[in-house]
Amino acid sequence: MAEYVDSALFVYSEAGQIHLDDILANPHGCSISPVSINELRDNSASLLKDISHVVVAAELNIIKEILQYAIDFGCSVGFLPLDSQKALLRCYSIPKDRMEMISLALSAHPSELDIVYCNNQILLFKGVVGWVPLIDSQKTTGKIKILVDALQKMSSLYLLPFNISTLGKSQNKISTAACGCVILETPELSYASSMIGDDCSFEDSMVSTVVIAPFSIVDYIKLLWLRIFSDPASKRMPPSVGYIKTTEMLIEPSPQLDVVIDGERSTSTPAHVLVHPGAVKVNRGSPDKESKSKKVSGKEKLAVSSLPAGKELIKARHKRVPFFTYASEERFKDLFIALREDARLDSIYIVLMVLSTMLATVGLYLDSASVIIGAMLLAPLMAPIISLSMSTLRYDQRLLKQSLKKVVVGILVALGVAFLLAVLSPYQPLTGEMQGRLSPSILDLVVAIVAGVAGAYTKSYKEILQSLAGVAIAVALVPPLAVAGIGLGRFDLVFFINAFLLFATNLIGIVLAAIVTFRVLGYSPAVRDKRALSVVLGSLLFISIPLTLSFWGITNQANFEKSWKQERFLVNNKYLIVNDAKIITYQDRKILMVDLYAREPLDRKDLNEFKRKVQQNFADNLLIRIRITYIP
Amino acid sequence: MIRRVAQFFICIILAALLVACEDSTEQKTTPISVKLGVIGPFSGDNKEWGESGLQGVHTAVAYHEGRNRGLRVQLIQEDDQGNPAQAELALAKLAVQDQVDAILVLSGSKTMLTITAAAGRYKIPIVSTLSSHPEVANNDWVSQIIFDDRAQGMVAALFVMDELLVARAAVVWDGEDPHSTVLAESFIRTYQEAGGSVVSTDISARKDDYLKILDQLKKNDVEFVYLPVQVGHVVNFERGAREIGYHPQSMVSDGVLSQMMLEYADNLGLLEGMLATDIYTNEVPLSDFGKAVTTKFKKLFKVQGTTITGLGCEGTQVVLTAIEKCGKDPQNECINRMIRSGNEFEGILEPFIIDLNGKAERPAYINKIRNKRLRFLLKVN
Repeated sequence: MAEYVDSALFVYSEAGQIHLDDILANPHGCSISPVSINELRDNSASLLKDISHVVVAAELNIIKEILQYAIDFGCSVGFLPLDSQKALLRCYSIPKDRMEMISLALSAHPSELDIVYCNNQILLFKGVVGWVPLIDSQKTTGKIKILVDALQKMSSLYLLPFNISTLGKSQNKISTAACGCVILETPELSYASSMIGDDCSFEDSMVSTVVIAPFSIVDYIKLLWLRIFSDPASKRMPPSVGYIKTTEMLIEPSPQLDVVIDGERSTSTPAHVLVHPGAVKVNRGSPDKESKSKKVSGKEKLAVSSLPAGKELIKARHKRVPFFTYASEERFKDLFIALREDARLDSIYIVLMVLSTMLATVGLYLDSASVIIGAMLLAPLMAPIISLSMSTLRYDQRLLKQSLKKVVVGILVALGVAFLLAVLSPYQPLTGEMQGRLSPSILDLVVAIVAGVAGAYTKSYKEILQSLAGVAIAVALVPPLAVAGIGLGRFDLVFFINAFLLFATNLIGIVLAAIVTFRVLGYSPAVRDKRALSVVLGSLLFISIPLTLSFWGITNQANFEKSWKQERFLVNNKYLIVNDAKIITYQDRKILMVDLYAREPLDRKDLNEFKRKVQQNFADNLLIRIRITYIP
Repeated sequence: MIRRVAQFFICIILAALLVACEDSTEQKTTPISVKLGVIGPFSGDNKEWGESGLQGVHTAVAYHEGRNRGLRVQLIQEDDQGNPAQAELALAKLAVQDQVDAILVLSGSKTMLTITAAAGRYKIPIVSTLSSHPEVANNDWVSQIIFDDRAQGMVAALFVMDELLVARAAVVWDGEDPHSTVLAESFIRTYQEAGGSVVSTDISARKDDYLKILDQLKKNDVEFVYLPVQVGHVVNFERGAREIGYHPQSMVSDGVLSQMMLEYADNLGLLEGMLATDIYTNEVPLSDFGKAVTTKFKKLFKVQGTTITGLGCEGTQVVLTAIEKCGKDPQNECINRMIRSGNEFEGILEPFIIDLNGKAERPAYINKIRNKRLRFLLKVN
């Protein structure tokens, strides 16, 4: 079998004449009949009648014309690309060397390649419908340029209604909203083809389409981040991007948009895209090793779950993209099922609340941090609080009632159990673990807010759900309730109020932070239950007052205690060194506990003088208790 | 009609607001004319002390006259030239000829002790701003606003013994200076009672013998030296120590950094790292009074204030406050009683009191001298 064709028709444009002398003098003994494109157009039937092979050296639109002639007359085609036709060289693996190029063009072993038509026009590389920010640039584009372009376009980002119908083996109608889409026939060097793992080829009998639809500025920023910092080939499909692979499709945006085919504004929507498998025989070179190893699937694909659908379209269509995402309930079906499940009151919850409170109460009595941490892990309160946040955000009254009821029942159970244990206990110590929960400050609110964000975030993503335990430890809901219950059991209202204030701080902080987090993550277009949010915000402001005062109090106390370590007293010629000082509050009285070093014994006169000096220099109403260590 | 009533009420409210917005700190105008005598070394070897203290006096007078628009203070300055005999003459002149209401003395212990001895003759309230000698207040008419030297020496000794944990110390003191003598005696007695051993050296007779003294201390491995001496001796001691490569931890007494700033400004580096007992520190926030007088001082004088300035200011503050309390035409007995009332006087860092015996009750600060500032270590109440 001959390696090269015996004869060929060489079609050239004015620019393609550069190859004329070389092909005429080809070393393969091939007889070349040169003809200009204009001559061919005038006498195509007669010129192509007995021709089995055509070599073309011309602009892209002429190449497409020749390909159509080749389909019509059943001849094979070889390309002699112009210097500017880098994409042609790359996609058809044509060698750069002029003689090798001619050898390939005259080869007698063509491959049968697909031809994609878009509105009956040949699409050789890619077509663009609408506006496709970020994904239509070359893979090699500089990061700074991408960033600057993306930021410039951010303010004018909007989504249009798109109906995409796949008309291949499986027929689907996708109603979505998008900025635009890229139709890919060959793996180009664009970022779009990288995102689908270069899963396109002119031998797979398919055409691939990448649709871009950032729901929000936040999603756009995420996409920008991925575009700049991650390798698209190694990752899953980014959010806000859909992918369709089929043999035939119809793209119908509203309003009508231009379709840019291979860089030329050639037609407009609706765009009917159709693949003619193996429609034309083309001499192509051997792909490089990397391309060879990549097997392109000939199966239809539909990955459009990231695109707006259902109720989301109402928010998305014809509108400038909002800052935060809105996602429909269908999109996060599993999450909403889980949240409804979490809001349901059942016996397991009650049992867990009882057990965790018992554990916490015993841990508090024992002053054992590890036992208390065990109670925190066992406590089931976090889940209904997160449900409460979501229901407030989405104005889901049923979920709101259920979760609120569950939280209230949990609180009452915890208070009741701790109360009973405190009443029954003959031993009533004030341990360090209890004391630590009697002076909440604004810092506790900060912890609660961070934990609320973390709680909502972990709940939103199944893969990090195990982190919820850490959140529960950080925010510790049951121990403050247990301390409050112990306060009730002691009939000490101040004790109860202080501990309950800590619990309320945690509760309000978590609810508010989770609302904001869910809002940012796009679970609602807006905070719908304004009244409930007002209640939460009002409560937050209300508790912020004692918390801030408490914080200042703690800060002042810490500063006071620290400064006391630099205080010395000369009392009746006796030098007293302050080793440590602490202020504790007992029954609304402040007591200064001072640890002193003294060289000589202190009598009543000395102690009175010491007290006088302290009260004169610091505070009149300070009660003083002294522990003395004598220096020998 | 309704509009007129509304206008009337608006006027009433505005007037009330104007009254309410007036500076509440400003006292009611009480016309008081005060003659205040000031004795100090305004010439001679220690003239910088006198000048610095006088700046404090002027600052406090300006502060009081600003607060009390009816107060008129006439300052009559008398220069004692650093000479006790001259100070006694000045006292007589102020008391008999000028008939002042009270006298401030900006001189050191030696001069002050002479004034104390003569004070009973004139029955005029006298406030000593600089002297911390325990016998200065041994007269019903003399009060001091600085803590007692005995207490200062004791505090220094116990700090070294119990906090620096140094059991062997040297004391270099000046037997010709009563301030130095009391401090040294107090330190030595307290330190020895606490179980420490002391190498005591009186430099009054060995003023040209620093190197020998230092060499001896070095040979005996003395790690701590207490220097309750005038700044000139401190400079000589430190220079000599550096010369022979001897670097013990040194501790000086009150006002040394100020004296150094006034007399040996180019050699301030010699004090670097020394411990110092003082009335003040640079690292404790100023009281409201302290802030006000500091602002006033900065407006009046373009120099750096010292401990001596601060004490001049506080001494004047004590006298003028007492006079204000006695009202128009204050009597000497009243002023003296008010000074020694045991009530609080506003101080630059904190309030202090002067007890019935004329002795100040106020904290002492233990500082470390770093970068020409008194860095706070401890406060002894």
